[in-house]
Amino acid sequence: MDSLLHAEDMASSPDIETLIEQGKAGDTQAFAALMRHFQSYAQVLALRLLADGEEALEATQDSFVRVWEHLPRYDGRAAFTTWLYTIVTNVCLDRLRARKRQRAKFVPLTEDAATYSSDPGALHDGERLLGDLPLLMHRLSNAQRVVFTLRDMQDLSVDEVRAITGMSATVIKTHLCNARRLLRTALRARYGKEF
Amino acid sequence: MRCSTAQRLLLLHRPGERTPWQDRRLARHLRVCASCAAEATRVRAELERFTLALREATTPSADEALVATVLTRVAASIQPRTSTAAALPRPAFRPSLLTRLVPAAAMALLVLAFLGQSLSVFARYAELGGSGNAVRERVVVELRYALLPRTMQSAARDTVPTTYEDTASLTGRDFSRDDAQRAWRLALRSMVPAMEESRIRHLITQYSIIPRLAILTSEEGA
Repeated sequence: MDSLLHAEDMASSPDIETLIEQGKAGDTQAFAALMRHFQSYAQVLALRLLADGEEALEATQDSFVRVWEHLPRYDGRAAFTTWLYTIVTNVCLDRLRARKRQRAKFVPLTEDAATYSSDPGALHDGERLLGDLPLLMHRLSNAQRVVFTLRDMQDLSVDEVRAITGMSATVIKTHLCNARRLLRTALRARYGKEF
Repeated sequence: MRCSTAQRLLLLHRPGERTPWQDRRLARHLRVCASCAAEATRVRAELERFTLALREATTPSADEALVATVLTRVAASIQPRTSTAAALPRPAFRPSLLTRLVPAAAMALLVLAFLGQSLSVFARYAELGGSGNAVRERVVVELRYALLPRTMQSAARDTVPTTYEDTASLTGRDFSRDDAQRAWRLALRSMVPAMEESRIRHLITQYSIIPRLAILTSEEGA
């Protein structure tokens, strides 16, 4: 589980706190070490939220620049990963909103399964699933997408999702429920009844 | 529980997503509804398979250039930093002012509705109980009636009021919350025949009339 991994990471890396303190003081080498340590966490979340490899990479870069800018404000009350995830989520949301505005000017994606670029193949065919991901996630609102990604794909607890999104537990569960229902419907349409 | 509610709850399949109360109700429903029970297995299996596949498909390879790119951007923007702001960045979804006002407005409406309803109930009591004893007497009679086994109720209709001792010996049981609710339902129904069922339920559960009934019956018993 990712959330447990984070806790283990923090516990087994006593120098993370030191790196954070040094980064706060403006030490770019310490910040670089911090980035190397947390890069995969940020990149995975960005990829899952944006469903686009290149854009996820850009979003990860933007997120770390923002982390650098705001690092002096981090006081350790929340886990560093929670803080990082909040920043990555915000950066990705800004991109999703911009993408939506941009798309509105052109032809929107349709809900039709025929718009998938290839045959469905099997669900465990990772490459194809990754290819389908933008259209699958397109069914979800931004809030549903964020909640589903944080809870199901990042395996965070409802409390952690609450800390990151600022939503109440009830709202989170509502979005989660709707997201799963919509995705299940889309998956059944794409991969067959019992995918 | 309706099947639609059950199927919605089934989507919250991971630990900690349903309240214990929801779990109990759902379990009860699944015991008696075969189609929802089958759906429960399917939903869990499908969603878990999908999530697992998605997690595996979205594991990016590390990009060595990322750190260098960020450091270049950071170097270009290095400036004195302050640490006066809050520890956490803004939440991803900040509720708008309107959204924040909605709960307060809803609460105010609830309070007003409660006050209105309370006043109307008190007015009804005042109206019915021009002689408070009449209401009380009626309630006690209805209570006695409600305490009787269903098979004896029609016969008892002719002989009501029965005495407290008769009732106790006939029913052979103590006064329970269900009895009280049943008695109040009958009493309210007899006092205000046109009262809607939902309104009666509301009064019974919301206005602490059960304790009042308990007092009435204990007085009667004494």
